[in-house]
Formats: sequence, C-alpha cells, structure tokens
Amino acid sequence: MDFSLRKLERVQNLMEFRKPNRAEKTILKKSFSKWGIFEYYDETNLFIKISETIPNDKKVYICSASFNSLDSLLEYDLVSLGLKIGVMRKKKFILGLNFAELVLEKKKNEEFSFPHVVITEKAVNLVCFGRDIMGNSIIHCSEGIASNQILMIINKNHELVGIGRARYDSELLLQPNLVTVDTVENIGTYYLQEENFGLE
Amino acid sequence: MSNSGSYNNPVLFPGNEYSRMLSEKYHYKEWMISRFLNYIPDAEDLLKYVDTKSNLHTYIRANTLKIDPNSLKVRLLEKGFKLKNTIVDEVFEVINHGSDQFTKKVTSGVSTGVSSSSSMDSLIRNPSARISSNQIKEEQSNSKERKLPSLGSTFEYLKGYYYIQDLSSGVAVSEMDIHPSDDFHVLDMAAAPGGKTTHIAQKLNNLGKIVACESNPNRLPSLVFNLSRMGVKNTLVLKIKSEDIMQLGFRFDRVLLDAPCTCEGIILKDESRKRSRTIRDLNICSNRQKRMILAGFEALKPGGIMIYSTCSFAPEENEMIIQFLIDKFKNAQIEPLNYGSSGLTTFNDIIFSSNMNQTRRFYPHLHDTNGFFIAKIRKSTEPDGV
Repeated sequence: MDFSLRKLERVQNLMEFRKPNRAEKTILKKSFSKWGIFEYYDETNLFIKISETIPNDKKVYICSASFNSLDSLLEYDLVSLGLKIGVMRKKKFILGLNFAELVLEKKKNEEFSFPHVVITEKAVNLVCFGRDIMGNSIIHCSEGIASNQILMIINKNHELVGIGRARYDSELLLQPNLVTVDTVENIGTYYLQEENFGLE
Repeated sequence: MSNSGSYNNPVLFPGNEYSRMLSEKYHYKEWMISRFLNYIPDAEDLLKYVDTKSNLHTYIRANTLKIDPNSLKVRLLEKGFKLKNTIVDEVFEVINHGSDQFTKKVTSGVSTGVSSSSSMDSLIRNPSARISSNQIKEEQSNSKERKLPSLGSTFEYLKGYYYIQDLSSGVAVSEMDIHPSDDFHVLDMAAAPGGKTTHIAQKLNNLGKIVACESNPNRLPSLVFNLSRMGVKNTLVLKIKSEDIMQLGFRFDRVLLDAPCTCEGIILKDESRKRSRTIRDLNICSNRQKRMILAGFEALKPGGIMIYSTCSFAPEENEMIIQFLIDKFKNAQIEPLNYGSSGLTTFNDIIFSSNMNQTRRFYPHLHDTNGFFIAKIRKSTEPDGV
C-alpha cells in the first residue's frame, strides 16, 4: 500500500462515522460466522465510530441500506446512526443486545445452533432487572457450551432476554440451587444504561 | 383574506367576573382563562375535565417493526390489561392501567354530556366507552384479584413492542402519507424523545432515511434510547438547531415539525403549566415556531408534505403560524385532515384564510386526547414565492 493510500485510510479511520476497513471487516465477518449468520454479512450495512471516551474502542452500527459512506449527511455532527450492535475492542467484536436480536431474527425459522439457554417465565422477570441465573431456572441449554463462554438468554417464545456468560460447561448448567449463568447484559438494565449514558 | 399585520404579538383579552371566577376556581392565571373563553369551545367544560386527574387517557402504539398489533394486544390482554381500538390502527387505549380507573370511568361517563363539535369527533369519542355500574363493580373486583404491572415496566415495553404515546401524536404521523421505499426521506425537526420519529420509522418499515434533529443535549439520550429500544435502523440523529437545517443542503419528501410550544394542551399531565407560563413565553415560542416552519418548508421537496403540530390551543402557536407561512409562500397549500375539530378561521380581529378550517384541533374534553393542533401543508410544484 503506498503512502498516500495509507494516509487516506488513516484519515478515514478518524472520521466520525465510516465504513469498516479491511481488518475490521475480517473481525466482523468472523463474529457473524461464529453466531451462524455469515451469509447475511454482505446484506447488512455497517458503520464504525471511534469511541470518544474509551480509547481504541470502536462502536459498530447497523443501518438501513439508504445510508452509504458517501452520504453528505455523514459530514455533520452526528449523534447516532441506525442501531449500535456492539463494540470492537482489541481486535475482538463484543456483541451487544441489538446484534443478538439480529441473530435471533435471522434464525427464527431454524433450530438454534448458537450457544443459548432458555429460561422460565419467572426467571425472565428477574433477569430483566439484573439477576444472574440459577440452574433450576434453565429449561433448556444448547450443547457444547464451555465455561466462560458468552451465550444468549432467551425465553420460551424464543425472545431475547439478555446476554450471559456460562460458569460451567453445558452438562452442568442445569444444576439446581446454584448460579450457573452470569447475566452480562439484559433488556432492562441495558435500556436504563442506554437512557442514562446513551451518548457516552 | 388574512389581516396579516395584526398577528405579531400574543392577544390579551380583558377579564370579567366570569373569567375571574373560573381563574380562582381552577387555579389558572386569569389572562389564560380570558383567552380560553375566546378560542376553546365549552371552555368551562374543558377546565372541569382537566381538573379531574382521572380523565387522563393512556394510549400505546404497537411497534410494527417488532410485533403485529394484534399479537401485542393478545399478550397484554393475557397480562390483564384492557385495550380498546382507536382511529389509528396501531394505537390502543389502555383502559385499566392505573389504580384510579373506576373513578375515572365514572367521571368520564358524566362528562360525556359534552357534545362533539363535528361528525368527525364522534369517530374519536366512542360512545360505547360509557360503562355501567355493574361493569365498574366487576372491574373493581378483578383489580383486587390481580395487580397490574406499570405500563413502562412490562417485558413487552422493554422489548420495544410498544410506545406509550397520546393518540393525537399518532394521528399526526398517520396523516403524513408515508410510502415505504429506500429513497423516501423524512425530516423530524424536533425529534426528542422520539415518539413520532419511531412511528415514522415503522411507517417506513425501516426503509428510506429519517433525519432527526434535536438541539437540546439533555434531550438527546432519551431520543437515542427510544430509537434503540424500538429497533429503528433508518434514522440519523443530528445535534443541530432545526432552524439551520438548510445548511445540510438536503431536501425531504416529508417534514414533521412538532414544534416546541407552551404546552397548554397537556395541563392534565402537568398541572404546573396552569401558572408557570407567561405571555412572554407565548411570544418566544411563537417567534421560534415561525423560524422553524420557514426552515422546514424550505427543506421540503416540491410536492412534499409538511405536518405542523403543537400540544397547545393558542392560535398564536397554531393558525397564526400557518397563516404566516402561507402569506410568505404562494406554493404552501393547506391540505384536509381526517380527524379532530376544525381549525379557527377567525381570532379576535384576525381573519385567517378560509381553508384554515382544514387544520385540526383536538380538545381533551371533546376527543379524550391531549390538547393538540395539526396542520398538513403541501409544497406545490410551482416556484417558491415570497
């Protein structure tokens, strides 16, 4: 890559909202693949914004096809563009609830192959307000979950309740009277946080 | 013909015994009462209605981006909420959301003695809403059996399946005549907290482009939050004074100007407005609305439609603003609207354009909504004229 192209890329990387560069695309494609929606990557319109408060964090946004990188509106002082689906940190994509919603939407007519637990209705109400999940509250969990793995928390109607982290492997997730999944994000506190710190 | 020279300042009317009595009885500033008596039909009925907290009606709008309205209705019915259809397909009235529902229904039954001002009004006020004393007793016993969650804390709310919003706001967006397509562009000039923006997004089915402007940084988080909760992908939020929108050099198919106003129409929700507003506030709002409507109209594509709305009854914030626009631009045309009472054609010594009656007013005591004003303006394809 010659000097002028590298300079152009550096300038573009500092722009408020921009399209993902090659390295970022690779990271995002890996995540799409990991969650079983690789085939939808090309039809999503993604934008990147450098976080103002956390250095090296890049927020990832999804928006409708009508926005493109040449859009003159992107030159202005934008507060947000479409939906924030996650954050890129240290060459990793950390999914947010909107990404999880995207996965569920794309997979709604298929058997779920991604890591997830289905929880009871009573547990849904508790998780929405930040509680972790006991083994007795789990109705079903997908196979092959390893301890410390990120998974989706869903209710029996297959609606997203939150994102969790497994404390144990799949076989031990249903142990009674023990917290087996930590709630990382949930629709209740997530929105509360967004409301308070939406602009970060 | 309009008397265009006379509408630069808010109009004050001399008080009398009656206005003084009403002012004392209902705790308003007297100048407000004197004005109400000049432009609100059955003004005393309004004051009586607004004075009863239980007359507050609650509406929700199903978010069709995430759920079918009928499925939402079924889910909320299962939770014990009672929903009633309204004139807007995706908007439901929640008739048992609070603890004081029964007194509310009793008083609303009494107050329905107020006659509607037009046949359109009868579409809004549903006579079947009156309920018998047996029904009230039944509801009371049901309520004791089952405590309802608050509307803002249900799983469905957190999922963004509905938005709590007044019916009149739903009417404003449904009158925008939106066609979902990728090249359809909408401007929302005062977007926070995002009720109407998210409604526009669902009308567009997340296609096209919405530019949502908000200049107040304190109101931006609520806008971003609601867009996220409702799953809106087609909106770009700009921190910009909407008067400066022409800087963008962009033209829109539709413009929504839900203008900042004195909020006379939501006194039922915020009683402090009975006494906190001054005639100076009215003047400030009116001047800002004039600047905003000019900017919004200029940002409109030829053939495009602008919806202007406020939650105020004051003609200085409503008909006078529309008259100001159509006096400035020959290609601004008032279009008819479907619901509500007709806009004023005269006020004090001012005579508005004859088609000002095509604008619409909503009164709490007549329509069971907030006090609201809506005007639909089309920019004809003729060249601009000043």
